[in-house]
Amino acid sequence: MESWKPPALLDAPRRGEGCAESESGPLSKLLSNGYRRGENDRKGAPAVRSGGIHFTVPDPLLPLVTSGDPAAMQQCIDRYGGLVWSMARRWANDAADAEDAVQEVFISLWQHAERFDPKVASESTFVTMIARRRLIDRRRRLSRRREVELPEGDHVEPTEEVDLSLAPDAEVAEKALTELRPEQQKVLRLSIYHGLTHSEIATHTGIPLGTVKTHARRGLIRIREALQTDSRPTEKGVRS
Amino acid sequence: MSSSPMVPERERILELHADHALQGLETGQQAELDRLLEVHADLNDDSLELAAAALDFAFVQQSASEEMPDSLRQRLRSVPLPTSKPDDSGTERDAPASAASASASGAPVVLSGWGKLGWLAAAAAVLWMASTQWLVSNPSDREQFDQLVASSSDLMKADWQGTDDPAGSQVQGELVWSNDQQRGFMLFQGLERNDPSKDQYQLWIFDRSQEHPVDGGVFDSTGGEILIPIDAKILVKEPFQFAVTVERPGGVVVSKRERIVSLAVPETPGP
Repeated sequence: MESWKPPALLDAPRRGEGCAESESGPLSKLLSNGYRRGENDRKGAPAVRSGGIHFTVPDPLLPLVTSGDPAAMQQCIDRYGGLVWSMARRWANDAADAEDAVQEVFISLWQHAERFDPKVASESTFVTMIARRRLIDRRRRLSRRREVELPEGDHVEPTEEVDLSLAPDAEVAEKALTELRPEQQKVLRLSIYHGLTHSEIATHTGIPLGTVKTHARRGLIRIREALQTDSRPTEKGVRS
Repeated sequence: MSSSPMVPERERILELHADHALQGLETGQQAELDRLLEVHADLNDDSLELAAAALDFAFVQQSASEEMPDSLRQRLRSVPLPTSKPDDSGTERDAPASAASASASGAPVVLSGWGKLGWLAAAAAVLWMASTQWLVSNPSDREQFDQLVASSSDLMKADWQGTDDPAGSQVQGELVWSNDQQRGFMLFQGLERNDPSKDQYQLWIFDRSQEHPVDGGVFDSTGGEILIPIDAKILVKEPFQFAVTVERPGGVVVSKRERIVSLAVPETPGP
């Protein structure tokens, strides 16, 4: 991967400064092995700069998975297991359900590994996409409408400093989110993080369903535009 | 469902892509999207889904997290690995769309749509899942389930509801049934494992055209996720409720209904 550090990261508040010093923050748990700052787990991993701090971004593993590299699959589990587990816990009713979901996600990841294109998205974003797909599918398949637990406020409050070195897409998306209209932010948070359907959002917020859909669509399009105009010089966002 | 014909097709594709990225698509919506993308192939991309994923990743980073259980990590690591390079044949046209179709159909995709990793990965995964008793239905059941959901215009669906019976108190899942095809499936999760030598589960179909409930077949549960084909013994015309009871091994002709573990009331299919 080239040094495709988005300008937005450099311009962002120096939140990464504190988090970068923490090896025990949530990202260290999410991306539990080989994905921490300074861990040069693969030769040639380029360093990217964020707020004056140098990060080492490991090379993607999915191309190796596609080629049948068993070690890459193990590394993939280590690298993304925490991320997928966190997502599954959010969507599942209980730990047992989450464990089943995680297994489904990794099966799906192996199935679709060959579709990962580093020119289109970061590997972490691709893995998150596959995980979301499976979790949404799973919920629909099981017709499982778990009790909706709505946040006290609209925000997802950080609990610890976080390391964004591995998620340039997420950084760009997060920044773009803050630039949306408040109601668009609200709808996207409820939809993406809390997993509410448009109808549930309408019920919860009192916003007409059609308006919810419009906010969601327009907000998501703005996030996409931000991702497509970041500094990576390749044909982002377009699938072959 | 279809959008208003006044909505331009490209705008409609955008709507469907956004819905897909945020909450998944119903079967009809997925079919509509597939049809539209045949005309507007340039709009066939995952960009909105990736945008949602990037934002989701940001949210995950901001939220409290917990460690994945070691037992799960070990289970994931125990997956048999493919031992050869994938071939280039049989590449899916669009894996995301494929997965979305499965999602819309309500069918698990685990056993369908293998990409380049090929049958070795597929077989390994299936063996692994079977070994963990995650899947107990055979591939043909899955394929038939997919086919039924995709092909039935009169498909009835219903959620399973548990009862106070301990065997069904944690049950979740759904039932699908097609009167036209006289076929259906039960998807369960959390139905208590039974000992087939002591008792078995039996499905009963309540049909307005029948005086007594119709025997829908005897089956067993592993306690995990199971997919069971419905085996209606006679023609079912107007089903309005489905019930699962616990019976002696092999089932009974007339249930005493001493242990009803789960109920499902299907929605009436649309016109």
